[in-house]
Amino acid sequence: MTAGGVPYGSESSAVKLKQKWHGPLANLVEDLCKVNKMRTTPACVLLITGALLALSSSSSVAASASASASSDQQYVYSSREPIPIAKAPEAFHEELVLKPMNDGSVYSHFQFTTHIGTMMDEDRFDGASSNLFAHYNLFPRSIGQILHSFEVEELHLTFTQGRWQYGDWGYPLAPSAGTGVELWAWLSDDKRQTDANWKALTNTLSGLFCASLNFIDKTITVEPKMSFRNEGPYNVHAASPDNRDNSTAPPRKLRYGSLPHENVCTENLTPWIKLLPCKSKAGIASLLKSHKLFDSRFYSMAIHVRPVCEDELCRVRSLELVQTITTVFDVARHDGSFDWSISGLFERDIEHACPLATTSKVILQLPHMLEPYQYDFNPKPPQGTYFEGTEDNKVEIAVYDLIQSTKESSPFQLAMTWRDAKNRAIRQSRPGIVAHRYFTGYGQERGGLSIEIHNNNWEQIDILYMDTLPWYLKLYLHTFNLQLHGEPFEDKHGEIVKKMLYQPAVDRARPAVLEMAVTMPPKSLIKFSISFDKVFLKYTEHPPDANRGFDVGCAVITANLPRHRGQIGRGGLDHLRVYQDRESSLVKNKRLVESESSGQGDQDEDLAMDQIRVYTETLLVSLPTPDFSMPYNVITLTCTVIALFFGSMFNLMTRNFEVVVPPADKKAKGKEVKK
Amino acid sequence: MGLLSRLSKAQRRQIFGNFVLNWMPRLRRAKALAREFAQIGLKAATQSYTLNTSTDSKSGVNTYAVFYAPRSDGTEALVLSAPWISRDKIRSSHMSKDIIFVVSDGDTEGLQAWLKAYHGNEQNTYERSEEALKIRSGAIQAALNLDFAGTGDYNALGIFFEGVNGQLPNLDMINSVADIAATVAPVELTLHDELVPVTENVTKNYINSLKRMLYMMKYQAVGTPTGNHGLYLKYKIDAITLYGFDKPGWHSQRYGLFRIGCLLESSIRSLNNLLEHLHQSFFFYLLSGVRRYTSIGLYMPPVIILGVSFIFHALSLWGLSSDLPLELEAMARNKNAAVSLPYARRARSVKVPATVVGLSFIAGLASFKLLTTQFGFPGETPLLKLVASAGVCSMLVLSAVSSAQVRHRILKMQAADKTKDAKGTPNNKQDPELAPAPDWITLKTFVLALSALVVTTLSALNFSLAVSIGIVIVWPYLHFRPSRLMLLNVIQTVILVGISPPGLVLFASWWYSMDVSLVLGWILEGYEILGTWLLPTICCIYWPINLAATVMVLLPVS
Repeated sequence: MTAGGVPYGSESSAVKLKQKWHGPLANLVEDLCKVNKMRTTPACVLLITGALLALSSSSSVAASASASASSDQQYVYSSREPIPIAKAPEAFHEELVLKPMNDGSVYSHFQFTTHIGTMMDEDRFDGASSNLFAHYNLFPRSIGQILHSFEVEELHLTFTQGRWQYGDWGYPLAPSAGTGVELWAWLSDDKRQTDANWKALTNTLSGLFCASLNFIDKTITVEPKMSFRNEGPYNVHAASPDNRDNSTAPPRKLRYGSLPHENVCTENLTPWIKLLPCKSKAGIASLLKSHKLFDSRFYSMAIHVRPVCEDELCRVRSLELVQTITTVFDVARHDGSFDWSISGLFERDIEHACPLATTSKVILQLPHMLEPYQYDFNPKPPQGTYFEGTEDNKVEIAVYDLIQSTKESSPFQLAMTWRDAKNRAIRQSRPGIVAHRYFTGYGQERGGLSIEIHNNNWEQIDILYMDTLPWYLKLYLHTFNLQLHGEPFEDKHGEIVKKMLYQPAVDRARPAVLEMAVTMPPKSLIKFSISFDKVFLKYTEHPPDANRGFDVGCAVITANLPRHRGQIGRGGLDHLRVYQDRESSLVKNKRLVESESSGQGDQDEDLAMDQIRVYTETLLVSLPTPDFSMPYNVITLTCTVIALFFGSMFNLMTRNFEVVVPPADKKAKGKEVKK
Repeated sequence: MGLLSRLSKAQRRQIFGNFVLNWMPRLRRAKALAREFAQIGLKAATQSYTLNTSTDSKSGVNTYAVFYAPRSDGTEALVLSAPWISRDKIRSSHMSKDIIFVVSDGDTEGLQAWLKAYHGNEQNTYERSEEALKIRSGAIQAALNLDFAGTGDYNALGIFFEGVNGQLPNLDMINSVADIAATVAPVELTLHDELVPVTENVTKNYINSLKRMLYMMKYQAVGTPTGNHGLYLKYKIDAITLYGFDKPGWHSQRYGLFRIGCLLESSIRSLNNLLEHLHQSFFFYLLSGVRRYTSIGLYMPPVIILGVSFIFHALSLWGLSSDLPLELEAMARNKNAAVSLPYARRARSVKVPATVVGLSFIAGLASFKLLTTQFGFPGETPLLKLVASAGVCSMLVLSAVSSAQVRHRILKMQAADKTKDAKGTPNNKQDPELAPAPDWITLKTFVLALSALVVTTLSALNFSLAVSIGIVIVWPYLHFRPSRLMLLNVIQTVILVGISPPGLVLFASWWYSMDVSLVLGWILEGYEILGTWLLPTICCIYWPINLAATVMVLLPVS
């Protein structure tokens, strides 16, 4: 069978396949089982049903099934339901998620998703070299051009102001929550120009977003070896595992940089809004009023561009641009009341949905109460609320379709009121992995860094820790030590730290990077500590506010948390598309495929994992600071004295004084003139 | 307005606090406080600690809470601490720095334990154990310590600012509070807890200012902080204590909780708005009033002159101990003296003085060890140890002096024999062999040089301590010398013993009419809990020089 090259949706080949299939169906299924080394019978049974379903269903599924059967890849696909695949070359979705928090804050998450291009028959896909960007409708041209000219395959840029309080708020829907600016990108290394492209990329984005991204230079940029893999299970690169180590695959390189002390304000928001098809004129984006957005406890604004698969086998691919804004409003700040409404939060209303949007939704995640009937919200969604998750992780969700509801009544209103202001029995969120990082010691000569990671799960959790420290902190790796539950722990057999990658810093050239694969025992507290020396900088290397200190960016922990705990609402990094039903079913199917291929054959979602990223605090380190004002005073004083003294003295000494006798007639003339 | 309502609430709570909390056991008290903090929306936690010193054992529970500034990155923090009384809260949306509220237990050791744990130095030994902190914030930029005894009204507000070992906060810290107390929240502000009326009399004002400056210098010299703020300074955190007190009969307007709240809020706001760590103003100053300071440029020259006097005297003595005076004598007699060489002709033995100085330093170190170690025998008290170390030191003096006297006798006899021999051979035209310089001159040179070293070095570290040491020793060390008069020697020795550490301790206990062991216990506590340098400085530096000086006075004259 040579169905591997069968183009998707091609009628004739599908017919041919069908003809071939009818005869040796049983053999084929047997083959399938052998090929995939399926030992468990339930999996085989499932496969048979899957194959039968495939035969009886639409051609597209047949094609995919045949493709999986033909090639010798590791997995097989079986679909439970046919999935309609959007064939439109471009699509735009907008949604707003609102979630009241335990402490009276209201969490809002704006998400705008733009897709471009549906490609077929492309052996190789990368955002840069494809002919995607010949024409722009919804996709912002400025981003498209950047991706094209700097050979960017995947781009993630996040601006954040404030700290995400993991302990109070759980995990955010948007994965990047480190204070400051975080930029990471996968760049095509076809022409071996990654570094030049990265530099150009940071500079261009700097101009585009009015931010100091150009300061992400080689002293800040790192190349993580374990963290920050390609995102999403339906990502192009993640979807084709044979692509990963294949030499024919285009070489790709990862670059990561962050600016912890970058302030985010309206000048960054304006260019961000400009990328939206409706700007802030219509749709949920009309709520984006900078006065209210920046007066919140947490504000995060992101752009994610990545190639994704439109089908399970990744033959239809598209480029996805996701723009998110995440804020946490402190509703209870003024009078302690938890009541809120959309117009109160944003001081604006949604008049109508963005006309260009395929879907436009407002999603309200209701608080998880220990006692019923404590709050009320208005209006109720026409189709009623529904529950997500299992048992004690049940989340009640209300979804409003803006396109419908604004037709009926405009503007769209949503408000929540609490009955009893005193006793709110809200279930506390218990995030599975929480991390804190802090400096120890005092003085300007040496210091230490401590990282505390809590695992609140009853399961053992594998995490990846990545820390980037600037070169002016000289780490001593021999001082690295590990504590478990507050007691020193000798990790001789690598029970906890499975793998450690350390890149020592080079002065004025590159930062130190510490990456670790750590296994957290159930219900544990792990503490790492390491000592360092502080470098005496050249006086020109100090910033203008030298006595403030230097910001050290946050460490990032990547963890796979069990999904059934429902710690992020509905699924980790799938957040970006998770509220779109099509994608979520796509993800589900993809997972199913993966679980089968890995031999588990377990359809239970309990084993599924959500990948989350936990950001630690940014830190401030004070280096030995010279007294800048003293030389300045001395220089100005001496310069003034010398200038005054030298000027007049030199003038006096070099001037030739002579007695000039004015000629008499001239004098007379002058007198005459005067007269 | 929000502040006002919140304050009245706080006031009501404080009545409850004063009645109930004071009588609760420590842990329950801390937990109750933490609950109070949590109720107003702060993250709160408790920290327990124990501390065993050589004299005492202390334990307690600190309560602390963090207000996370919205929108900030949490890299910087301010501390508002109180030895567990005042509980005013500020919650503002314009904060750029986190505010940590610390209600510390005990005297100073509670805050000490908290600060140690905050900087990751928590220990877990028998002597000290501090619980690790559960919640944290960023680098602490500045701290305000409140000391208000209850919720009543006051008519004055005192600023305490001297830290451990005489460290001082940046002067801008005091200046900004002074500004606020003059404008935003009118409060009578003063240094420490003394109110001195300003009069028309210039001399009187001057003397009052001088008194206040000396008052400050006293605190600085002792090195014990005047409040909990002093502990922060060690960690490079600028801090002051605000102390509310009532002086009956004083004319100023009384103020209550509301104005304290205003003052605090304004001060916290001012500190919050700082872009950098305080560094613009002075770190070295002497204050004679809230608005009057003497900068380092003015006060350093006197103490340097003091130090220089020692070194000049030492140099002249060193010169004297050579043969220069002998030549002068010869020239005066118009004798045909040999051509004088530009270097010493008279032998100067360094052995004896060096041994004395070395031994006295060893004795000082031994007495320091003796005072600070716990041996565990019954009836062990600091006083007993002081007596023991005084005994060690006097033994040293006695043995040094007696051996020197014996040696002197022997040498004298040898010299007498030699002159007899010389008389036997009259054709000896060479210069008569000059007798070596007496040991006391060399020893005095050593003592003076060491004193100069100590005074000048200390003046940079702790100015007030250097000045007080300098003033105490300058006259005796410069002028005392062994005399042929027994009475004079005895008087000199008595004075030197009087300014020795045991003598000073006795004097202090007499002056403050306190028990000697109390004074000693206080010094020891300062060293063991707060890490002040007073005891090591006195034992290891001051006492050895004093011992050497005593030995010097008792040495034979020629």
